[in-house]
Order: sequence, then structure tokens, then C-alpha cells
Amino acid sequence: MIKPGIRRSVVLHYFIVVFLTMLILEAIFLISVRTYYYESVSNHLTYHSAVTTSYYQRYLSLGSNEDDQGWLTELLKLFKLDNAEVQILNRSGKVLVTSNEFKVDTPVTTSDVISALNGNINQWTGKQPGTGEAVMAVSAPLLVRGDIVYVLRLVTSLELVNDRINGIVLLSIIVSIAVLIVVLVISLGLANSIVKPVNEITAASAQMARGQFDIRIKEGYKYELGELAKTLNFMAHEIVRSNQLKNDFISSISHELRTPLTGIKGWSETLLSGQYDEAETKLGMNVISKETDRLIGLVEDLLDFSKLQQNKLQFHWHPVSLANVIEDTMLQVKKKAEQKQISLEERVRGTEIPLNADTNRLKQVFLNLIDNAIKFSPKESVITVHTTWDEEKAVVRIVDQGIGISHEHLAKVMDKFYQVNPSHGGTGLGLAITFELVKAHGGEMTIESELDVGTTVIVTLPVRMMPELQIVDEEKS
Amino acid sequence: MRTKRLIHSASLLLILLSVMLSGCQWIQDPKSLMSVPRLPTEKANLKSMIASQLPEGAILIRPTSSDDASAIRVTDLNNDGLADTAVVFYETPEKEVRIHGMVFHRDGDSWRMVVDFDGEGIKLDSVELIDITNDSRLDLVVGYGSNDTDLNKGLVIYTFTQDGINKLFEQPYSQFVIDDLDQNGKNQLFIVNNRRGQSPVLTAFDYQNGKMVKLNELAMDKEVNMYINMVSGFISKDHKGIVMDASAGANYWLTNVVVLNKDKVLEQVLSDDMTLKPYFTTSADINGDGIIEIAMPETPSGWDRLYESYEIPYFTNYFQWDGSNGLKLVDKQYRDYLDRFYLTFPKSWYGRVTVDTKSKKDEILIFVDQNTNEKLAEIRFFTPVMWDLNKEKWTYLSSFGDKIIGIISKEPLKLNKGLPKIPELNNNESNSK
Repeated sequence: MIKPGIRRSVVLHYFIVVFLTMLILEAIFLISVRTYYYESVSNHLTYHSAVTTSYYQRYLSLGSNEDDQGWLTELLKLFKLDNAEVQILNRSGKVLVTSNEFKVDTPVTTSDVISALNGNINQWTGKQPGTGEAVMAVSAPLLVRGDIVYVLRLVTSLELVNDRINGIVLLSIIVSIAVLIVVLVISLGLANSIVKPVNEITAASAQMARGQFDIRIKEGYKYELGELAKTLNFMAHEIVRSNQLKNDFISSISHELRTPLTGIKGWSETLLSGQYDEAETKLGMNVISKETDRLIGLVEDLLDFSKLQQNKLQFHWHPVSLANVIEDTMLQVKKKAEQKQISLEERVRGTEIPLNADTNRLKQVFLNLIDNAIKFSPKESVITVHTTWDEEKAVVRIVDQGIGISHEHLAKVMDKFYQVNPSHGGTGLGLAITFELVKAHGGEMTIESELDVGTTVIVTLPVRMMPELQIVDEEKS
Repeated sequence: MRTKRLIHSASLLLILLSVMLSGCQWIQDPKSLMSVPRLPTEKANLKSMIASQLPEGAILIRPTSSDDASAIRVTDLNNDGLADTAVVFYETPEKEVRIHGMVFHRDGDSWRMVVDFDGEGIKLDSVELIDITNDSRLDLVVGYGSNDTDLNKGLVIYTFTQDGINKLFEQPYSQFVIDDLDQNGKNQLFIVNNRRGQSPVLTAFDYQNGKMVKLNELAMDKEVNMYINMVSGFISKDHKGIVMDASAGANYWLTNVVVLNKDKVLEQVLSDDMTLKPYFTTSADINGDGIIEIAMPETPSGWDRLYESYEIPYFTNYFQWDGSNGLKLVDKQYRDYLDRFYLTFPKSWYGRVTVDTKSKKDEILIFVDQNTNEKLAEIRFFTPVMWDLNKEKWTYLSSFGDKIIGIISKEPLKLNKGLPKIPELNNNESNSK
């Protein structure tokens, strides 16, 4: 009818829930209707027999002559009840007289009669012998001189009552079916309201999967579906962006690789021609060597990065003096800073505690950060490295007065391959690698920046760093 | 377009209307859905057939003194195991002939009226279906009466024929029995007649050669005014007879016992003075041994002569015929004069029990041993309040109106019929007053 899917399960769930509810309600309703009808009839018979037998007991029982049929016939008038057959039975259940014109041949021994012989007024429901008609009988004891000598039995047909109950059953079943149909229609609508957006989102994401990332899903859906649409849209956007990053990276890395290669190629060709003197040859060889260093640095960066990505970078952990590392780094970049007339300052607050770290990696972190600061700082500016110690961590702030990073770029500068301005050269991996290394030391790195005012990079390194994971990694490798 | 809309609104109205109508039925009182149970098809067919044949204003009547008080009698006439004949009597109050009868025969599944005949009198006293013609076919014996039960009634015997009924016999009667008194396998009819100023006559009839023949008749005591009760059956282990209770003279009663002797002649076995009694008691098989007992009151010793008859707490003795001319006592009871209760004395009390003369029939009865004056039992009439205070000690006997009757006894007694009693029921009723 409906193919398998959310629509069918939603409709089915609604249907089952409502069907069960209806079923239970129906059962309760029918039981109570039946009880009400039967009880009413039973009460009517019981009340009538109680009243008339009480009257009989008080005023008529003395007139009883046990074998007088005429008297019993008279008694019938007292017990007469519209729409019921009145019988007077003897103790063995033989019908002595009945309001019906015919003689009853077989003794009656139903539970109501037995109960009446024990002195109680009781009711019995069953089938009338001869006709199989559903009847209700109520029997009451009739006493003569304190003995139960007769039993008054009122019998009424339940056919009309049952017909009425059946009518009610039928009607309520029809109503239930109608309700179920309405529920089905409504649940179909409800299922559609879920299925339709899901289908739309599915179709759109299928297009995305085929590479059409410019497609956007309508985000006006409610609740989870809206979230899903937004997420998918965001995902498409991110895919486009990372593609862009990759492309940028490839073009910049090509450029970066080509520049030194051009120098190497030029000088090596020049040298091959052999028309130069020794000094020139030396200069040429120097250039080739420098450019090769640059290439090696680049390739190493890339290697580091890919190792970091695959968690394969090896660390050599031992106690390290952070001040020494920073000092070494500052010495290394001093020349570069002097070229731009940038003054490097170092300030320390608190007592130094040796850190458990990898010296070279830590040096790489600060070299990268300070180098960056120099790169983006104007001439004659100041770069300050603040180190603050407390018992748990060391916080290193590298503050420059450079061009700064705009708000929109700030969140992404630590992404791989991201470059604020790809024409500046570089791989866009520096900060990403730095960030990963800080993380490997259990630290954190954040960047605060304001455009044209300056940038502050904050590196927090914990004192008690237990790089168990890395040690295990090392052992493995 | 317009018609479509019209159909639309019309059907909507119809649905609304039906819902409203069914809604009305929903709140119908269940009591109004009660109905008299259906009759089996065959009986229902017969009943509707009878109804269609009844003249306007006629009502079915039931006999007042037959064992079977049903209005429609269905019987197996020829003893083939199939109910084939139905007899009904009806009354037309405004017509010259009051009582009529109808006979129906069965034709497969339906019933056919065979005859509609006129009855006699204005009351239907008895209707019996019994074989009196000794042809293994049932005959119809009908007693027609008047409004006065003391007057003679009319007995008519009909035989069933192929196309109706045939009146065989007609006689006035006061009481009648049909029994095989001489135990020859053939039923005889015994009729007792009142004759004003003369002795009543008991007549025996027999069916011979197509008609009822008078066998024999016996003139009864001249003093008898009328016979009130007449039963037949065994009066000793192997003798059958007729027992008749009668009112006689100015203010006394007697019981006659009649048998058919060897010569098939009616004969009284007891002299009248043996069965004289100061008030009426009904003879019947009181102890269920299949033999009819003759009920005779006995004045407890100490009460004779000093008290008026209405003050005396009579005992009732039940005798059986001893086979010759005497009686033997089989049961001794105290029966309340208003029939509110009775109790059967144990055999050990016979010959010594009497009632203390301080007793009053409606208040207190003290049964004592007349030799030792030892109290044997006591019956007391309580108000409901007093009964509540005393019911621990006293045994419930009966109750009527606002009186509860209790008994204490040294020996266990058979009270009333000796059936289980429910004093609570009566007690509550009395209390709820």
C-alpha cells in the first residue's frame, strides 16, 4: 500500500497507537454498556421480586394451602410483571404455575433457583431451553410457615437488550473505524510533513555528493530538519572553502618551490658553463646551498605537518629550560630583526620550572611565532616576549605592533593551508604546525589581534606534562 | 452544480438526523427492552392459532382446582410419543354461554382447530386429561362450576373423535375422583353429590359398551352438609380407598373412608362416630409414605369441658386405617389454628404430652408431661424487639405480621416441614416495619 519508509512507519505507529487505544476504550465501553443494561434489568426483576415476596410474606403466606392450584394462580396476579414470565416453582424445581399458558414439563434447576432454595434472591443469565433464547431469570424464595416451600421465578428475554447492545457495538465499531480512517488521513499528512523535507534534503545532498556544491538547501524547516539543512549547507560551504585552500596551497607551494629552484637552476647552469672565477663560483655555490636549505626547510615543514596529521611525529621528552629555548630562538632571529630595525625584548615574571618537553620542537614553536611577528611587523617596531610563571603553567605572550589580523581571518589563521594573503608566499602551514606542536605538549595557543594595532599570540604550557601517549607511540614506532 | 450541493446538504442532514435519532434510542431505559421469553416455535404457532380463533373479548381461563393449572393443555392423545392435541377453555363474559372450549389437532408443524364447543356454568372448576374409557386414549373430564363453591357442579366427560369431541357423560357433582380403586387396571369414576335435606350419595361409574354405567351407589350420613375434601389412593399397604372430609350437622365435621369390597360394592369401613371432629381438618398423605392419613383433632387432657372449643389448643392426630374397622396413630402434631406453624411430636411424647392450661393460643403454649408436669417444650410469640433480645436462646419457628414465633424444647423436634428456615429474612422484614 505504502512503500517502506518513514511515511509508512509514522502511519503505522499512529495507526497502532490509536487502534490499541480504541480497542481498549471499546472493550471498557462495551463491558460497561453490557453491565449497565444487564444490571438494570436484573435490578428491576430483583426489586420486583423482593417487594412482592415481602408483601406475600407479610400478608398472604397464611392463606397458602400447599396443593391448591387455584390459589397459586391467584398468587400469579400478585407477582405479575410486565414483559416477564412469572413462574412459581416447588422445592424440586417443578414449575407449578406460570404466567405463560403452557405447562412447563421439565424442572428448572438453574443457579438462581438453587440460590433461592438457600434463601437468597439471585440472578441467572443463560439460554431458555426449547428456544435457545437468551434470558435472565431472578428467583426469590417464598416461605410458608418459615419454610421455603415455593420459589418465585421471573424470566425475561434479553433478546431486545442484546440487540440494542449489538447495535451499540456496531455503532461504536463504525465510529472507531471512522476515527481510524481520520487518523490515517491525518497521519499521512503528518508523515508527509516529515518525509517531504527529508526527501528534499536527500535530493539536495545527493546533488552535493555529485560535486554541485553551489546548491543550497532551504533552511526554513522546523526544528531538527532545519538544523540538518543548515549543517549540510555549512558542510557544502566548508568543502568549497577547503577546496579553495587546497588550490591556494598548491599554487603557493609551487611558487615557493619554484623560486629557490629558479635560483639553483640559474646558478648551476652558470657554473656549468665554467666561465667564472672562484669567487663567483663560491657565491653561486652559496646561493645554491642557501636555496637548497630553503627547499629542505619547506619539505621538512610539509613532512612535519603530514607526520603531525598522522600522529607519527616523534618527541624526545626531557626536562627543558623554557628561558634557554626562548633565548636561543631570539638569537637565531636577531639578524632578521636587525635588518628591519625591530628590537626584540624579553620579560620574565615568576620562578622558572623546568618543563618536560622536546627542545627542538619547542624551539620550532617559538621560532615560527617570532619569525611571523617579524614578518608582519613594520620597520622600527618592538616585539616583546613575556613569560609568566605560576605553579601550574608557563604563559608566553608574543606581542608585536604589526599589521594585525582582521576578525574574519582570525578564526581561521590556525587552519592548515590558510593564508590571509596568499601572495605573501609561504605554505600556510606554519601556524597550523605550531598549534599542533603546542597541543602535543599539552598546551594551548590563542591569538588576539586588532587590525593595524598588533597581534598577541598566547602560548600556555603546563608544568606537569606527562606525555604518556607519545611515549607509547615512540615505543611502537 | 446546484443540485450537487443540494444532494450534499441533504445527505449531511440525513446523517445528522440519524445520529440524533439513534442518540434518542441510546438513552432508552433497559427495562423497556425486556420482553416475555419467546415460546418454542411449535407452541408459538399453536398460541397464535388459538388467538386467531378466539372471538373478540374472549379470554383464556385456567381451571381453579386441577393439579395442572395451565391454560393451554397439549397432550399426546394416542400415546405415540407426539403431542398431537391441544385443549383450551375460554370465557366470553358478555355472552349467553360463558365458557367455551376448543380442541386443536396437529397437522405436521401447524395446528388446526377441530371443534369449538360450548361449556356449562360460569366457572371452570377442573380439567383433567385421563383415560376413563379404557381404550388407551385420553379423555377429557371437565368440571364446570358456579360462583358458589357449596353448590353442586357439573361434570362432563368428553371423548375425542376424529373430527372433534363427543359428550359421553354428564352428572352433577360436589367432589369427584377418578381412580382404579379395585386395581383391575381400569379407571372408575366416583362422584359424591349433595342433596339438600337428604343424605349425600357416592356413586361409582364404569365405562362399559360405549357408555358410562352406574356400578353402585352408597348413601352417606344424612347429617353431612357437604364434602369439602375428597382424595383417593392407598389407605393401607394394599388397599385403595376414598377418604372424604365433610362438614356435618350444626357445627361438627367428620371423615368417611370408603372402599370397593370384594363384590365391587362401595362400603364404608369406619363408623361415623369414630371420625367426628370439632373442626375441619384435611386428610392427606401427611408423612409421605404413600398412604392417606385421616386427620383427627384431639383435645389435650385437662382442657375438656372447662374451656370453650375455640380456646382449646387441639393436637392433630393422623391415623391410618388398620385394615378392618379400626385406626392406628402414625403421626401426632400441634398445628396452629391459623396455620402459622406446626410441629410434629416425637413418638416418646405419645400418651403423656398435654398443654398446660395456662397456655393461650396466640401468646404462649407450654407442652408438659401430664404425669410429672415436667415442661417438654414452649412456644412463645414475640415482638420483633423481644425476639432480638431472645433469639439466642429460642429457635425460630415462624413469623407472621408483626409476630415472631419461637420455640424451646428439651428434645429436638421436627418443626413445620423440617426444611431449612431463614429467620433472618423474616426478622429483617419484621424489623423494617
